[in-house]
Amino acid sequence: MPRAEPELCLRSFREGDEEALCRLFNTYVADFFGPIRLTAREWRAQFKQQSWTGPSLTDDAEACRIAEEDGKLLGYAITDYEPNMLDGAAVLQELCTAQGGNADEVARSLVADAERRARERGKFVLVAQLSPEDGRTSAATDARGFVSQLDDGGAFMAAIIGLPGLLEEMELALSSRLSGSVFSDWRGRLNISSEDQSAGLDVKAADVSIRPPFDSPDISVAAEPDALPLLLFGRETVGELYLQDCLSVDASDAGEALRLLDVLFPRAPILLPRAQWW
Amino acid sequence: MSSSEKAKLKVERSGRWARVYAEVGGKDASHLFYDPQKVQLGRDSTVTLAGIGGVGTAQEHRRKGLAAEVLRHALLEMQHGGYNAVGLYTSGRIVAHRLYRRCGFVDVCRRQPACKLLDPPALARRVLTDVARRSPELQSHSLTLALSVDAGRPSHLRIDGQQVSLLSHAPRAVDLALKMSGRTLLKLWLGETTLPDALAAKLATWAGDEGALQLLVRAANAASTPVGEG
Repeated sequence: MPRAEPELCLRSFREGDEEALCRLFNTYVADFFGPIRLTAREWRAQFKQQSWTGPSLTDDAEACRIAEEDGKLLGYAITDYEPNMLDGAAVLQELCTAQGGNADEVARSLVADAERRARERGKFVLVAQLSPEDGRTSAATDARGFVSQLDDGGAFMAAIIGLPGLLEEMELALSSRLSGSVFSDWRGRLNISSEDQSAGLDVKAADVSIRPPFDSPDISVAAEPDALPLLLFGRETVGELYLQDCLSVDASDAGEALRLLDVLFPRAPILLPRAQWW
Repeated sequence: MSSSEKAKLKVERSGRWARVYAEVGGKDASHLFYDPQKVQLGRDSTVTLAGIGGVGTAQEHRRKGLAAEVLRHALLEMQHGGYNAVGLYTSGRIVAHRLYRRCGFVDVCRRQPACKLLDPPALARRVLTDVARRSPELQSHSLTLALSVDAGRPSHLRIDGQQVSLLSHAPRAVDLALKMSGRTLLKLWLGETTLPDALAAKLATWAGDEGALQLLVRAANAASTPVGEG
């Protein structure tokens, strides 16, 4: 007798699921955005009770729907059916799948499930508020007939208030970025400044140390205040900021300096956390 | 002396959270909250920033600069607390966005939500109910509408004073037939456009009794509120 194909099973969140869901989240995110590595407690803290927005997992287990096949976790979706700001809408806030053969199908099933539940709760609209740069989730919503409708989905805004400290927090990453690049042997001193903030980077063959600004740096970078967060968060390429005259570079070889900066501050996708009360 | 001048800036801490607020006459007139949040700086770096949220100013204290005072005070508190970066979420349309920009915040990533209309007739009923409830003129009239969304079959709605109902069968006569896309219907619901603007921009088209149209347009104008007063 032929063995039956395992069926995708969708169920609601149960206490104790968070460890496995958080592992899946970390793996899913690492594939594209980089290692965020939330703990299960942090993952859970993005729900209401500890956050100001988002669904309450305690009051509404359907807010987190889990896809399984033969008991194996394949994905989950988080939907806020009672968002603070949008009466009449439900908001799909997170969609994570185990990357593999049927990840697309799992994602589509989870979105269809959220649509069904939103309809059952009398909602007129399902808003997919997922990270705009993640093609895996947009493929699922596109396939389900979602269209970009809203002009203003809001923005994540940031300000840098301690440039030297922030660069210190990034020291390991900066070293690591250099070590895997053509600048792995580069040695020199680099100043970065923006308005009243400045810091020095002492680079010794992929070993970056943050120092007070140097009197005679090899490279001096001045960023417009608007450009500094974009540079550090990896939201604009160094070249684009330079071309837009938001970044000036003083170095004996400006071309090489720009290439070095591109390695230190590459453009990267950003994961906007689900809990966005802050 | 303005309310802003009389304000006392205070900070209250509870666990991870801090509340920075302006006290006027012994009451919290404007406040924000912050707590530590992890955020990415590139693919390989996670840092902790001060995440701002719960920003609000009491109605009677708005437009006096209190929110800016609170925010600037909070930024100093954060610096003293060892934070190197600050983040927040905001709508791009509300006045607060300009305040944040003046205080050094930059749009790092804009959200681009996608929508699926699950029930266009019910959403249309919601939009018209909002109009009917806020328009004194419409409350003494009744109108029958046929609304087609995304070239679908028309839904029929009846406005009777403040009540808007979806009709289960097509009536013998309608006062006004409207056609629009789902996108336009969503914009009406979100207050991103008004019916008069949508008609003027040809995002919605109409047929039928011009008097009925003018009544609905006047009602929509009366019901519309400026965006960004939140």
